[in-house]
Amino acid sequence: MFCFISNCLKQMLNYTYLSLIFLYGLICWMIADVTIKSQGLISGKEILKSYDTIILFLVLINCIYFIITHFRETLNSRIRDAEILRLGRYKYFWGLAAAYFIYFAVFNAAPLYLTAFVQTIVNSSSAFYFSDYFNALLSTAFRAGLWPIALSLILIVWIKNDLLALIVWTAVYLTVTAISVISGLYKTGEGNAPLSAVPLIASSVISLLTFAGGFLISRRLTEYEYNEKISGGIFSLIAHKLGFVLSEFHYKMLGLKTQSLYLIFGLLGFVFVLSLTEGMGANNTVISKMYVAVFFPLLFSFNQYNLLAVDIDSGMIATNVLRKSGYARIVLNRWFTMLLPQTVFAVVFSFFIIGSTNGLNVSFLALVLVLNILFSSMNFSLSVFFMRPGFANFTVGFVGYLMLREDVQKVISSSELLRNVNLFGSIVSFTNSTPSPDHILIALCLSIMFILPAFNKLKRIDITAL
Amino acid sequence: MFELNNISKSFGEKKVLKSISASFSFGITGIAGSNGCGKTTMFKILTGLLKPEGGKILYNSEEINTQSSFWRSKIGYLPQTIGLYSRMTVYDLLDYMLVLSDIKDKKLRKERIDYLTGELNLKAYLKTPCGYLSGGVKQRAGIAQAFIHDPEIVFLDEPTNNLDAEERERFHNFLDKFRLNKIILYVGHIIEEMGYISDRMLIFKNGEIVFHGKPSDLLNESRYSVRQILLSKNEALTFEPHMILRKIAINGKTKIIYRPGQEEDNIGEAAEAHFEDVYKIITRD
Repeated sequence: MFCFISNCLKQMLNYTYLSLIFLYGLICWMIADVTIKSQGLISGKEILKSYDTIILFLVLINCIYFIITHFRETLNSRIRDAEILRLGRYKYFWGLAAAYFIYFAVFNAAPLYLTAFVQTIVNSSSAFYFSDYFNALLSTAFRAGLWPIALSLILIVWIKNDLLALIVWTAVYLTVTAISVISGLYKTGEGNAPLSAVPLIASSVISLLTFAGGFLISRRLTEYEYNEKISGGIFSLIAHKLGFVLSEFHYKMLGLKTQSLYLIFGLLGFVFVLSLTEGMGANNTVISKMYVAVFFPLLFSFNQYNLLAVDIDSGMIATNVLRKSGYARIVLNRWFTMLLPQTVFAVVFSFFIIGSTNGLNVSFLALVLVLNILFSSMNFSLSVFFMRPGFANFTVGFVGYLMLREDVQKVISSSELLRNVNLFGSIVSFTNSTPSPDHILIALCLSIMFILPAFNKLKRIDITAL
Repeated sequence: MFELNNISKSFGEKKVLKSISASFSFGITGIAGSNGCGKTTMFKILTGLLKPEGGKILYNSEEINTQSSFWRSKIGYLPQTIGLYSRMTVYDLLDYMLVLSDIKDKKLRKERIDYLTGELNLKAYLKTPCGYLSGGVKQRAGIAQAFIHDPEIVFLDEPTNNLDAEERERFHNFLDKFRLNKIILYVGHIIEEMGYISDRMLIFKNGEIVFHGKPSDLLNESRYSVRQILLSKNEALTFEPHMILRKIAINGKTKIIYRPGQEEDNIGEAAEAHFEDVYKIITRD
């Protein structure tokens, strides 16, 4: 079922749609100077009020158009009959409904919230309180959204009995509702006004409806996808879904030899830089910034080709390509697995540097993290496209070097547009200039731009040419 | 059951597969042919590693996309050369292959590994890193990874490479167990063994299928009759080489099993044809 849903999503998610969503986010960003109260960020109404309704409407129409086109094509397709035969009619249509719901939620609604969220942080970071935002989000999610679905999923996966799951859920549900009503009455002191419980009851009705939907979907999903017993329970399932189980194997396969070697070099450089920073005054802050934000990520980004070479050298590429998981997912998991220790060390080093210099702040830490991801993704992508390590290493190293050159930085700072997108400006700056959230966003977008084509290429890798 | 329907493939000017058609059902199909005749190319097309230039592949009468995850979950594949990840132990390697096949239950994975490593005599090597394995053990680990996720269709490209006689025997006994519930396609060069283990045989010649049927049909065909003659070593050296199918040394003499070309070649006496003799006759003609 998951394969079917993801396949439907893949069919609907083409470059045109992604470009449109990206463009729409960009336009929203540019034409509106949005600042929404922290609590209002999760409210669709608040966001609709703040952005241009016509643009949002057009994007919604666009999303619906893609869904309708997909549905029509699916109904006309010969493959449909085969899929119905395999899945069963009921599962097939539930799968389509789930795919369309995810498509709308993740690729239409979520970018809207994300744009508003990031823009609010950028425009009024001082007035933005994460605690407010999370309180509102948690209360909404738990009251009407997430908890009934999560609970029903857990119950069905664990208990594997619809009726029993329903009884347990109802008991939990009634208890929670009763506690909510009683505590609500107690707090407001409006014990004589029974109508005060109406909002709570209304939200509980929403919960019930969500549960019904969640119950049916999760029941269907568990019937098909998880009919095998999972010894580690729900945590094992989550670990599988997030790719942690695969990562464990990838650590064993790739070994930490190369990473350890990089770490030794990294540590040596770090000790050297730290001694400079502490011993020779604040001007050396630039060196420490350059080290932790560029040299260190560059060092660890080298030889991403190894993620592919491990299969090619061992003659295992065909056997991996032919597994159900898909080769792109396997290699991407390796990339992510190898990125994790690197980012941990980068954060630790950054903390040390932040501790020893007063000029750096948390946004610098975020920049260090995204630059680690950016250099790694750039090398990875070039390795996948050119299928050799030398070119990728050279190019990434060269880009890093070029961006740190004083003359290049001068040219960049002479243009306002380039200055705004210059990720390295705050690194080479002798003053305490800090990276803006825009820079972090740009670095993340660039990383995605490198990863997506590489992922796409890996999906269609021609192993006979290797 | 699956079928190939007019599959063709060329590499540059060379036509490697010339519109071949065949159908495969449960049991073992032995595939033989001289080097470069298209066997491995056919395997690569069937597994989705290569795209055919023309033709269709049908599974239960439905045309299928061999690069779909549906098909990938149905098949197991042992490539001609397999190296294995040198750092991983045999257990980890097989467990990894099960995780890639989306089998989440650790207990189930362990059961599968225990069963297959027992069958393929790999138990003693479970904790050995693959880099330290001998050629034969590596090959057995390769066979295990092809069967590990219990696929319905298994493609084995020269599975007995590096296996000694005893291990080959064990492997054939192992294959025997799946005769009724798996479609096994087995490319090999030891024709005698393939003739005995296979339910059907498929013989390739220059990108075409020249025989597809029961192995016993090969031996029963009168046109594949052979003769034998006992000669001294020197006489044997002068015997027409293109007629010779096999030579056996007996008490300082050489018994030659041959296929008479013309009437006057009918010297010696009629002999019982072996699979290897018939295979040579077919591929030489």
